[in-house]
Amino acid sequence: MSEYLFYFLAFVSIFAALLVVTAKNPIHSVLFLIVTFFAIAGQYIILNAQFLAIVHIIVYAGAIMVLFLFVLMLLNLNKESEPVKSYLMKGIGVLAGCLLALVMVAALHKSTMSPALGNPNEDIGLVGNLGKVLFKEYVVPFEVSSLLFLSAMIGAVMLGKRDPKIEPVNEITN
Amino acid sequence: MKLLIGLSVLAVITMMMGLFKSRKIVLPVVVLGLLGLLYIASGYGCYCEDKMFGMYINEHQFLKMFDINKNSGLVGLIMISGLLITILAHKGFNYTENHRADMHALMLFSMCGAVIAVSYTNLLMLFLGIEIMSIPLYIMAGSNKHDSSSNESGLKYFLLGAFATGFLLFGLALIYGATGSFNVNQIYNYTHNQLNVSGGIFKMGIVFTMVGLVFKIGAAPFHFWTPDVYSGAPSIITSFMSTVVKIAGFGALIFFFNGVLHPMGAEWGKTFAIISAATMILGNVTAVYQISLKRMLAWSSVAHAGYLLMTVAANGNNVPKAVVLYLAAYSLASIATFAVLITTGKENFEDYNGLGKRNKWLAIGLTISLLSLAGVPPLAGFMGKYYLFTTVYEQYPWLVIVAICTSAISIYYYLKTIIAAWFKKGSEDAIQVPLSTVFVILVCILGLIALGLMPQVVLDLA
Amino acid sequence: MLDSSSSSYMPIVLQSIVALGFVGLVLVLVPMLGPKSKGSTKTDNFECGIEAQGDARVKFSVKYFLTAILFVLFDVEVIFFYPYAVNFKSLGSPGFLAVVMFVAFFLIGFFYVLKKGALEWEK
Repeated sequence: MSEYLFYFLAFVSIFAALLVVTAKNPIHSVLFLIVTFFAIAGQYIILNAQFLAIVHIIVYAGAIMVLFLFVLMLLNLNKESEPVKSYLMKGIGVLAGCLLALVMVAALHKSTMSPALGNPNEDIGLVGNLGKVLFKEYVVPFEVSSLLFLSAMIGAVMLGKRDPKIEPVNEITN
Repeated sequence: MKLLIGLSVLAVITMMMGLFKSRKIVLPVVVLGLLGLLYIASGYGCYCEDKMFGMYINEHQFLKMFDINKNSGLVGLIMISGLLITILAHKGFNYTENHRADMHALMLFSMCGAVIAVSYTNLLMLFLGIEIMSIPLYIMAGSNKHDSSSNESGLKYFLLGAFATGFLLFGLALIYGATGSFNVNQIYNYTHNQLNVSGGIFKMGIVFTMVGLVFKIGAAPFHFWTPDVYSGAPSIITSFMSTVVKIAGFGALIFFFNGVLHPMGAEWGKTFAIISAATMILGNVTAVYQISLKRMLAWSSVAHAGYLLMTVAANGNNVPKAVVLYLAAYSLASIATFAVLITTGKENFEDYNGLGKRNKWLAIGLTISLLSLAGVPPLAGFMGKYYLFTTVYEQYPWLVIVAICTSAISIYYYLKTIIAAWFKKGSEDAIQVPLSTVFVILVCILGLIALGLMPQVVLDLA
Repeated sequence: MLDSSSSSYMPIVLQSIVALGFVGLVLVLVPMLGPKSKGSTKTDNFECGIEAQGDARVKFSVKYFLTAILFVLFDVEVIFFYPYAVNFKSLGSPGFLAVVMFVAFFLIGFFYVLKKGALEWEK
């Protein structure tokens, strides 16, 4: 049962991801990306990691997607202003992607997961166990990641906030 | 750990100072703080007593073989380069007067990341280090909001860098899948025990990790971003990128491939030899055709990444020492060159015509640092190249021949600048040099000469 | 892989099927049951009854984005609380210290953001 579910979700996520890339309308790309995220969240549930699944939906499908939509609005993409990509470039891109996929499949199709992993504990993904690992074993990376957040904050304020001295540029504000 | 905590606290303090209209004291506070931290880093070695959660450098099983004791060489280099660039920022941050404190804070955060990236014992820390180093950089590269080339540089660096980080993360995940651990000791044991590791997952993981790290140091197949990003970013940020970031990225790379994956060295050596040869040839040949000094320096930094990558291929025991010496020589010379670039504010070769008449000291600084980059004895660059080539020669003689040929090419474009500065006629207005810049250039030049005459100092330190 | 608790997802699955089925049903039924009328006025976008002008995509101001990005940062921060809260007792004082340090960094960031006026709506 869960094996079929895995293949179904994997198919959905890959198919939706392909549509993200090929969709003409950027808004459609964003919607397909949401489908991809939901499919991946489904994979987390199969792995019995409900917390990660929910976080994945809240943060990615919720918050990050809003940012994506905002960026699309900021860019103000119109049919007229969209750059025309040449077929040659597209062809080369597809070819390169396929080659990479081929190499990966060739390298991975016979390999097995490490015996070092053993039989992973089924409950490893539950929020309680996750918390124990995060706040004991991985507490240093956890603290260090706050530096990342701080620098992102400075960056957002510095780049996003208009400097007081400069004359406001003309733009339509809602 | 102390150093890392100190750096992040200093960064937070700096960030807060920006709020309280204390623009004047930001620079002195940062410089004093960095000096204090340098003392901590140099003293009894901040890494010895520290066994915090096994997330951070110290007792590796392979430390003796790897021979960067306490890693103090690379950390020290990062701190010293950061300090010198901070002093340069006195003039270098003039374009963003409102955000002086923010920029200093970002630079310190980036240094935190650099320190983590050269002293990880857990691959998760490697990833976080690279990210903490890169994200402030993306912001700083685009910090000159009213200059479109700075915007382009920031955006380009961000998009490509994020892509490379994706590769790195994917690679690390695959390595975790193969070995069952993020801990470098366990990964080392894994490679050691199964010398003919046939696991495709593991190898794929290594390939992706390699892509991510090679991108960060800007070597051959993944160097395309370097010239645009380096020449578009504000000069002070370019100097930071080409020194601190390169040291950290290279430290992470060499630590991973020559330390963690040491038993597999022969397998990866050939790949790195080819990457290195391609990088040296591409970097040096393209640098010849540049008309902008800044862009030429970008290409030359690609070329230097190529020289350094030879050591990853060689995978020898003396390698770390030679690398630290080379990186020291390269960083000092780059900082001095960028100091000149920041002072004049000009980027094209033509603007450097007759620099000797406009300001003698700037021209001398430029000359000595470029000569050192070219590897002219008795400067540090020569010593660095000498040790580098001798360590590599045993295993890859052909690589050393490529390196020597490309160094010969590099002399052409470095000399071109020097000749322009002394013998060509240009504008004759004298250039005022702020005291801080004079100090930095002086330190760099003295360092270059001292290292050239007594390379043993750094070799012992490393 | 799906453990014994897989049956506990049944309500969610049923709920999703009902929700999606209802939407599908309505979408199919409405055109079948309702009256049809075609014409250029009918297919136009509806904009308060007056004629639509220009493009629907207006250039946004970047300040929306600033607010959104700060939201994401704090959103991620809050998510870290949940695994801590679940283990509150067993983690003891070291865990508490770790979280306090993390929150302290974020409070500093919050203070910074407030003081810089990034949350003020500039005109």
